[in-house]
Amino acid sequence: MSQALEYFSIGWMDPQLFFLTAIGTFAGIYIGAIPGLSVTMAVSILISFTFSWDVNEALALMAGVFMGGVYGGSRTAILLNIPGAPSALVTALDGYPLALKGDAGRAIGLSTVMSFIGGLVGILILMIAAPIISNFTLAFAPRDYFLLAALGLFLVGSLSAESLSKGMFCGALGVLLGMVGLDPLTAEERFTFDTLELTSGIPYIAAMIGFFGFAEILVQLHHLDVKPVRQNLDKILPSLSLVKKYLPLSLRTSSIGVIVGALPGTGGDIASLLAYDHAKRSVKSPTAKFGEGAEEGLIAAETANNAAVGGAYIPMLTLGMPGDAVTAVIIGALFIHGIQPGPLMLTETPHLFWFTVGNLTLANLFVLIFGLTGISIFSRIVQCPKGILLPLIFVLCVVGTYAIQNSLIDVYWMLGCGFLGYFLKRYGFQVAPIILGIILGPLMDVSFRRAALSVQNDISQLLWEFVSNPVSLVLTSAIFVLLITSVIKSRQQKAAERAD
Amino acid sequence: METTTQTDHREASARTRKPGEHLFVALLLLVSILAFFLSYGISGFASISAPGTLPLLASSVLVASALTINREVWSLPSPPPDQSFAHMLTPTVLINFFALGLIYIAILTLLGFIPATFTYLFVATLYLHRQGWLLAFFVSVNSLAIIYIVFRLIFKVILPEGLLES
Repeated sequence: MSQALEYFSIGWMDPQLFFLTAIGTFAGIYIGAIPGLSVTMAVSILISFTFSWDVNEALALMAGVFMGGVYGGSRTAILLNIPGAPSALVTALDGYPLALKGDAGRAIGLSTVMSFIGGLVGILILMIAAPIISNFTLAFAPRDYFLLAALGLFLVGSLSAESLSKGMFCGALGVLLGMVGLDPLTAEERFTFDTLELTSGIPYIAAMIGFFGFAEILVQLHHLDVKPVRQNLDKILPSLSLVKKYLPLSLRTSSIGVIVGALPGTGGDIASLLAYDHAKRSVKSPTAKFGEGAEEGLIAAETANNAAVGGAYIPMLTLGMPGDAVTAVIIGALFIHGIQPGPLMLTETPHLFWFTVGNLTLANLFVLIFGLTGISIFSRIVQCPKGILLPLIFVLCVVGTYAIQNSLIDVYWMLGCGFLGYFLKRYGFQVAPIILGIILGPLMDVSFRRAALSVQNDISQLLWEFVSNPVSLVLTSAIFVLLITSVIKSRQQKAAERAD
Repeated sequence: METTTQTDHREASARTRKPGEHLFVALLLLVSILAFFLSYGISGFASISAPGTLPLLASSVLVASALTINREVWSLPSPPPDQSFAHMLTPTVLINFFALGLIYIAILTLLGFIPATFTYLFVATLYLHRQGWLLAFFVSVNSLAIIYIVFRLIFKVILPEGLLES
């Protein structure tokens, strides 16, 4: 216990780590707030700059950006009715009407304090749940990892695209892209077309920056003329009695946020949506009608999306499965530093786990501090025109990609992935499953083949093991249940569209 | 996964095809079939632990989902006549921005990071923001200075060196 506390406090005691977390959170708030800049984009660019750093420093900066970014989206949602991040979409529903009534300051203050509470609940559950899950997953066989990765990919595919088939397509495409290069078990070439450059595979950081960064720049070029509306700000610090009044609701919605955040493929956006729905159903007499400036709606959305951060770290640290797109990128960062997140992480590198928890707590505290200060300067900065912002982001994408291995070929990969990502996005595909596929593909490949080797390539025996072992059975059933419900949902949606 | 995505989703929920969508998904199907044959070429159906097994599985999913997507898209009504491919997907601003980006990367190796980035930022800001060359100059110099200080001097990131610089 004392050792855990010691690891927990590393980020708090070391001035450099403390400073990096503060800078990360500060930058994250602005990144999350500016529409067109996403946390995923920022973290993927950060990897390329921080891969030569000490792992603690890199993680401190990323945790700050993640925590700050999720909160930052709410600022523009309230002030300008432009959610800076998808997780703040629901925040705008009641936040902006509050601002229109002249209560922008109150709304920002309330959302900051509630984001802090939500973040704290998420971290607390991460601390309690992660060691339990980790112990449990130590008994996982290779086939279970394969099933788990397939389930994660399937969840992402089914939840993040407008149609199940599009999600499946992107997930499978990601897996195939992850297969390019030398086979990790036999060193046989796969999809290399006999070119030397492809033997080491597609540089996945370049792919991430391309799909998340450059593709988003191209999409944002369609919205160059969107002009923000100016708002007045007044007193922002909410009273203690107000916080107390909303505490029970915030704890309930935080719990929803953690659970949703912990499911692979879901993040703050879905968490806030479900929490908002819960608030709508459970609060009998809100301060205003939901959608017209109800403080309860704002609180539900903000607590849930910040609690989802802690939730997203649970599968990442215990199973090596990303909870959302950002944690998928952070897994990439850990791989670069030679760390394999998963059930052994807590036993082999407990310092990293407790350091991460401590760091997230620190970042959450910085959210509170930075969130309640400098709002008038903030409102001016986030109104920076896209005509200035987009070329700057493009330079960051180029520098970030080049920095990985000082190669311009990687930059061309980034451009190619970005261009493909742009078309996919415009036609209603989501790029997150591609990135998850690139990361999970090699794990699925190795796990599946180890499972096959353990039964001497007997396919019937392998299939039997998928249903005879309790853990495998649960995972196999989950995949089938998800598949069936997704197909039914997809058909119902199409029937409803036809009826319209 | 930004706000625009939500807009895209709303656009997509309209029951008309987007301009060029049928060709795009047909291209995806072709690529998927090619990926399947390439996957088969790795090790065929030799054994379930062979290097080609998972690529075969993944490319089968790719082909199946591409077929479903094609069926969905081709059954949609044609896009309204006022929507064109160029307007929806390749507006002039996008083509010009992409071309500027390509030129920037090309001149990076010739001029080096500082002159190439300054030129790019100046031209791109002037083109996208359209508020005069003085503002574009001011923004480019300041942005470049910040990028250089943060990434080269603080983070020690190696920036591209051009033929002229070296």
